[in-house]
Amino acid sequence: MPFKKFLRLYKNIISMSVWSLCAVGGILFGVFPLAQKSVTVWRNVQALTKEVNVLKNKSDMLALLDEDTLRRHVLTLASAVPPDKSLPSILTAVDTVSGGSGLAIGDVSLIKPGSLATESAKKLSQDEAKIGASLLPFSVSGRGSFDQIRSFLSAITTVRRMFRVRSMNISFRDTLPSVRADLDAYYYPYPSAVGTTQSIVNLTPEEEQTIALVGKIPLASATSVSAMSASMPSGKDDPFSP
Amino acid sequence: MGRAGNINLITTTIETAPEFAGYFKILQKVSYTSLIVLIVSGVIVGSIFAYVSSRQSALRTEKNTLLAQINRQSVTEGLLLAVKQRVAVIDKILAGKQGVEPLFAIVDGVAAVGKPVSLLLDEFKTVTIVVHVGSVGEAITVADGILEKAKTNVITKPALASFTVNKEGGFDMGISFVVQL
Repeated sequence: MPFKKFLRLYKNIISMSVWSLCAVGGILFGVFPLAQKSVTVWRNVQALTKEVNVLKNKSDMLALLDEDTLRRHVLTLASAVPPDKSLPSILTAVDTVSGGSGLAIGDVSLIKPGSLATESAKKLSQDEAKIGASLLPFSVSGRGSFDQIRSFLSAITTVRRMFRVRSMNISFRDTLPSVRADLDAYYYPYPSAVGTTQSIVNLTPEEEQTIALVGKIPLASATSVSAMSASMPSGKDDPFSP
Repeated sequence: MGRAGNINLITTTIETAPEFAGYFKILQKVSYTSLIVLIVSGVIVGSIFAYVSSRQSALRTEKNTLLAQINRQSVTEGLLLAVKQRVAVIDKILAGKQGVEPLFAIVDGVAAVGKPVSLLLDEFKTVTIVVHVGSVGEAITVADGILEKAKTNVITKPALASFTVNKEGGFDMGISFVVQL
């Protein structure tokens, strides 16, 4: 029986070799992959730690914020730059300012009013991208004395429904001067999604200052604010979802 | 002979082949060392893995708790985000705010000499004023007034756009310039 003799002669060597192979195999196929997995899990832990810290700060920050104050701020700012085209507020503002200046408005034309919806996904023009807000062009024509025209054009850019005068044409040929002004009304949609992990920062003094400044600008009309108030977000998980 | 009472005829000690005795000792050392390394490293790596896994699990739980808390405050978060974004936009609008009052101040100066006929402001801030003046002297005064404004950088690129004799007498003078609004 040479095989049995071989086994008897080399049993120790074979058993030691098997143990060695098992140990090396255990290291290579057990310990090493486990170590690699530990490194991966450790990296996850580091990432999670950062994320949890951000979330903790965010949660603490949110707990400190007063929802009613923020709501008032949004209302104030939205009365200057509404979340949608808010055609009624444009017409009301023109009506109020013309009433104050004494200019007799001939017509108000909306140029490409487009969709009445928020159009949050609308591609901004170069001019709009520069400002960051969307523009709704419209034109106003009217008749009155030069002082009335002047008063109207000066006041329309200083009411709390922000407009800018893009171009104008005043004619003094007739007894009563006439004006045709092309204006832009600003609007800016509410954010469509609220981030879950991005960090947030409380309002800075500069931002508070801007809010206070906007609050001091005379309102074009109270109705525009009540309209904004009706469209204010409230009570939903995603306050700005449609 | 074996010990008394031992009836096993086969030898109980297994002899290694004498030619491999040296290799056997080395192999024995390698085998024990690798086993020790396996056990020690296994314990260490296993402990580390258990620790980081439990830490990961704890962090995940904490994250989910925080997310739930934040989700409950999503209205506040949305309002803060809305305020911040809107303030940024309004800041830009206010920074580039265009008032037309400086332009009217120029018209006032022109109207002191002549009678304005028309005033045109285009979107590139180019202004064209047509003024009716009674004489060449008045036209020169109007032009001087415009050039004076140009010196103070209120306006740039002043130019005489047109100069026509009016059928009612006098002249219609068109002046263009770019106004700094």
